[in-house]
Amino acid sequence: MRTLGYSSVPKIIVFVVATAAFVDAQDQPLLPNFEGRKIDLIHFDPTTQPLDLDELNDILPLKAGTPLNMEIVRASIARLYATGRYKDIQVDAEPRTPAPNSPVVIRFSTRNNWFIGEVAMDGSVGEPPNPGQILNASRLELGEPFVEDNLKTAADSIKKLLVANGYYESVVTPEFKYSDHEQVNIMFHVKSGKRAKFDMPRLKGDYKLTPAQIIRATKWRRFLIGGWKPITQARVRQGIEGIRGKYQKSNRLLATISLDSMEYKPAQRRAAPHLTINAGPKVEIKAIGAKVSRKKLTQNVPIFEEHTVDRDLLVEGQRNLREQFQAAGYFEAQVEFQEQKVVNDREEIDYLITPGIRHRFVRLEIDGNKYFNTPSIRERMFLEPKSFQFRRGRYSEAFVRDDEESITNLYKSNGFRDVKVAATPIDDYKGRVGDIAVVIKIDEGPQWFVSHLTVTGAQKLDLKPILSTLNSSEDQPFSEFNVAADRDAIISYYFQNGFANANFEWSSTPGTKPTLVDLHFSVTEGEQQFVREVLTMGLHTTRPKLVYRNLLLSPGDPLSPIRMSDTQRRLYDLGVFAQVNMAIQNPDGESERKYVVYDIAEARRYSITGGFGAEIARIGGGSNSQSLDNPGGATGFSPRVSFDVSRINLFGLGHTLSFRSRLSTLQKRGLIDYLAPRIFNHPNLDFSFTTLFDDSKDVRTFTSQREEASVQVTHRLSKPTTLFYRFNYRQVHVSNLKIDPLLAPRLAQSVRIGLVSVNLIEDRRDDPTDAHKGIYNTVDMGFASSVFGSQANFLRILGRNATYHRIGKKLVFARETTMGIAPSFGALKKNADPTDPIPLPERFFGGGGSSHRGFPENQAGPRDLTTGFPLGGAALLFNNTELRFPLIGVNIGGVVFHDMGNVYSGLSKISFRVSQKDPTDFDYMVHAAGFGIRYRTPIGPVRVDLAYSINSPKFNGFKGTFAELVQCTGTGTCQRTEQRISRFQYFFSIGQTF
Amino acid sequence: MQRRATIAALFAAVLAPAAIIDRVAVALGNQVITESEIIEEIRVTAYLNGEPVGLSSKSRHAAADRLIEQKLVRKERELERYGDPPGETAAATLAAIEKRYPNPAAFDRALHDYGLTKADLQAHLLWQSALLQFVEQRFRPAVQVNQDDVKKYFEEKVLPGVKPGQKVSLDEMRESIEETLTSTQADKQLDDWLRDTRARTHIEFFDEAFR
Repeated sequence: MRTLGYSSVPKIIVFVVATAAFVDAQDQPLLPNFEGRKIDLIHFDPTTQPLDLDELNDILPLKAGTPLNMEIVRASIARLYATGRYKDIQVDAEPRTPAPNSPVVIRFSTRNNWFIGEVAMDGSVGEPPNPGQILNASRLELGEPFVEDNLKTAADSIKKLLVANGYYESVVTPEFKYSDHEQVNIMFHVKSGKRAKFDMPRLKGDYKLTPAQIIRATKWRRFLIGGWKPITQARVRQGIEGIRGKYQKSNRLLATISLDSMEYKPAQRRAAPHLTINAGPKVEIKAIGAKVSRKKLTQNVPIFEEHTVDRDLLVEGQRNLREQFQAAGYFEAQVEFQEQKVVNDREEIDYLITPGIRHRFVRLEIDGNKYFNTPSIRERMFLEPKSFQFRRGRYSEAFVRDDEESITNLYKSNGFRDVKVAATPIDDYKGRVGDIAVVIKIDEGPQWFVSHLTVTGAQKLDLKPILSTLNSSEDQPFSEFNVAADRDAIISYYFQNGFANANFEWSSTPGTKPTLVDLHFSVTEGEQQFVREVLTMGLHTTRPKLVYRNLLLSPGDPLSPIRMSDTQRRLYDLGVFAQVNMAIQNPDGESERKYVVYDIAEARRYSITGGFGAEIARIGGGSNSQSLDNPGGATGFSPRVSFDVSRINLFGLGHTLSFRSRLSTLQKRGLIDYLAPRIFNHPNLDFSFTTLFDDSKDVRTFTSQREEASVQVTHRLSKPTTLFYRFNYRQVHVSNLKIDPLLAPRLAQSVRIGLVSVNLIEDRRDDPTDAHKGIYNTVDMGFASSVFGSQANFLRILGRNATYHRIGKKLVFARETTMGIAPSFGALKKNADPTDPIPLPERFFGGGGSSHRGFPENQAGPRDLTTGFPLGGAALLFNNTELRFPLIGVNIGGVVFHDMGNVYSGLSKISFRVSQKDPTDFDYMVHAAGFGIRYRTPIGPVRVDLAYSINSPKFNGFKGTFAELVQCTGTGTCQRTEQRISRFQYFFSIGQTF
Repeated sequence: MQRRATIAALFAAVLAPAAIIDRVAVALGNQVITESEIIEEIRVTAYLNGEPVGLSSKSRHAAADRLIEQKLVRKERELERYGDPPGETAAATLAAIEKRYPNPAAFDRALHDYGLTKADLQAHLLWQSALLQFVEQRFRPAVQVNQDDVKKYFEEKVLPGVKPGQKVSLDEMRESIEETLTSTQADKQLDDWLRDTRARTHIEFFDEAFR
């Protein structure tokens, strides 16, 4: 009999009626029948079960003391099995006595399931593939049921990956061990053998190019030195792409290249790729009727990307080209295509373009909007009338459609269910041929509101915390968008609280007035799940307590996927783990309490990085280090190398020890840093200890040599606000001074500084690399005193306030004010001049691309009266303002800016005076204005600024060497030359000025 | 006293071999079919077909296959919230079967001979209703009958069976042919769905239950 089958079902029933009454059965008793006997006792074999006794008692329908019912026995087996924790279940019954109605003892004999725990590998395999790729190839998912037979498949998959990377002689042996909590830990022993190299490819098919051309395109041969490169999966793929690229260059867009096999020759340890190549005809795509570059054709017609020609792709190309023309002002552009058959190894595809008149989109009118003002609507629109940024406006039929839809959605999401939006383009607007206007008529209709909201079904979870945040609460606009958002909020809330199967349905009924709606949300909660225990694996050098204190889940907590992910993020944030896999063990099992599993792969303990770079700026001048020419700086070039080594996860505590170095013609720096994050188990407190050696010439006046040790505690008060508490202890030596020889001995002395400082940063910018709105404040207060072992006593306060404001949709007005003071509290040393106690390197220096663009780097403020080199000051005041605007398209922007300010010799000397009294007066305000270009990149805008200073400082300098200066100072015959900081300054860098 | 009884019971359980009353026969993911379900399925089918109960390994496997398909459909119905099937058809069929017997006692005896109860039979008939509902709601709406196929069916299946002199037109038969073709296609879609779902589900047979 066939029980299933739609058409057969009624026949079965009819057949049943006809025959069932007349046949006797020959029954054979198979399972003993104890139905109805009292259950005396229920026990489990083995006594240790994968579920807790409490949970077993809760879920098992069969109860001691009740009559035995086979339906309930069956339901009990099904319920236990549904937990996912059992592999096999058998139920036995044993009468207590031989009496016919003797009570029975029920025994559940079980075999438990096992689940995948830690999956690891050993053996040395040269990358690629890396260990992560190897383990991923096994496709053994953490927490899923363990099936021993799958291990062979997993090992085969790993082997396949290794072979694809040239390890033809690799051997993969899986091993597994049963562990606690029904977990199985799996280890793949991998012996990779040596990586094979490519061999001469075997080609077949109609490939038209010469074999030598094809081999060259693969890049599988070594350049210049000859021989074949080692095989990797990426090289094989890139080689095939290289061949395809070669054919594309000769317009053979339909070329097919397939790798049939790799023929491995163990004796030579080489593998020859067997390639089937069919070059296909040359496909010529031409634009007729309008000039379209090949590059534009390639970008717009997707056959180049898809390596095939079919009607759908050609239609897509047609649409793209039309939109391209429309975007360029040819709003009526017509594009058709003709595909020719292959003749003489050529296939021609002609795009016939009728551009029509070039238009300008001159006006956009929006009528009928009352609830939303026009700017709010414009913010959501693609249509854009002509402007400086979009010379002919941004218009296309697709944009008109999209804007109609987005305005409609905007209104609908605010309760205007009957809104109608109609956009009407008007050609030859106001009689001017080619001008287009678009009038958008909005018929808002009535706004619908929620008169009453009822939520039912919430029994286990209190919804009060989120009810007040729902969009569809009483008296709020009614829309399906809002209901969808509320649905997400409610389901997400349930999800967070361990209700993985919560469901939501809603209905509405008319309210008491025509535009009122009564809403009814119905929640089906499903079963709540809890954390049974959190299991971690893969910790070898890391101390478990480091992981435990970052766990956000404890046994008994609701099983929240969000908290699981947060835990994973916190573990990643420690910076000591290469991979943190998380899973719920036995995810499909219907049990109340579940293990949460984290399989952790520790990162390599050492990381080494190196880099090269160069700096071009006004950093040069003078042919040798003794030259006193160009105190204002000249364009110079400084190459730079850097080398860093880090040892992470020191002592298994997540601490990091790093050495960083930088060597350039301007700076030699070596730094050793010890970082202990999250000290005292406080998530927002970090501690660091740093020692530093720095030999720097960033201020042109002198070379400073710094040996420093510092300790710092970083305290993250809130997301935007961070406090740094710091103590620096340093010895500073000054040499190579380019100042009056009479002053040199005093300022050239080594000095020891002990400085306690506090630094507050408040960052509320929307985008730190390119802010459009928000605020950025910093205050840095330092106090150097003999109490801290300092030979100089001074206070140093530097504050900075920057704000960013949007003006309309496109403009950003940004401003920043920086003010600093460094008053002294005592003499530099005994017998020293108390009026000038602050050592040169501790003074304020300023000017340059990030402070005042009227100066080259660190060239603002007081200067030596003899040589003209900057001396730094005890106060500074800078104010920068910028207007940032889009310039060309969306990636290129511009700025106009004004910078004002200077570095002053003291707080009382700060002046807004514009004119410089004489070449010895530097306490006045220098103004500079200019413009810049910004090119948007993922790491921040690339910046070019050109500044013009209306009152750049003049100063007296000395042409010659320091030795000549010493000589002429002694004889009193020095000739001073009046010089001036160039009025024009330019800067290249990455990131906005502020 | 209770403790002593428990220990005695455990001792008895260890000493005396206990009789198996049920066990897992087939696992489909986290669902199971027990041996007692298979036996019941064999009994019901045998009763409905008027055949003796055969509990061979082969018939157990055949019954298990039918139950696997039942479980898959039941699971899908739960997931898609099909709701309870209408009980009228099942009740009417049950009443029709009962009427074939001279009295209710004879009906009960017949069921008892097959090791069944009225509830077992009722549950089986209700399942048939549920299956009908599933096909009606899941597959039938998607079936589209092509008029060319109707014509072809008429020419190939109906006309050859027409007796000489009997007049049959396509228009007269169209509705019934469409119904037949719809049923056939819905049936095929059900078979396809079952095959795909079965292939996606991890199914394991436990040999002890099939010996």
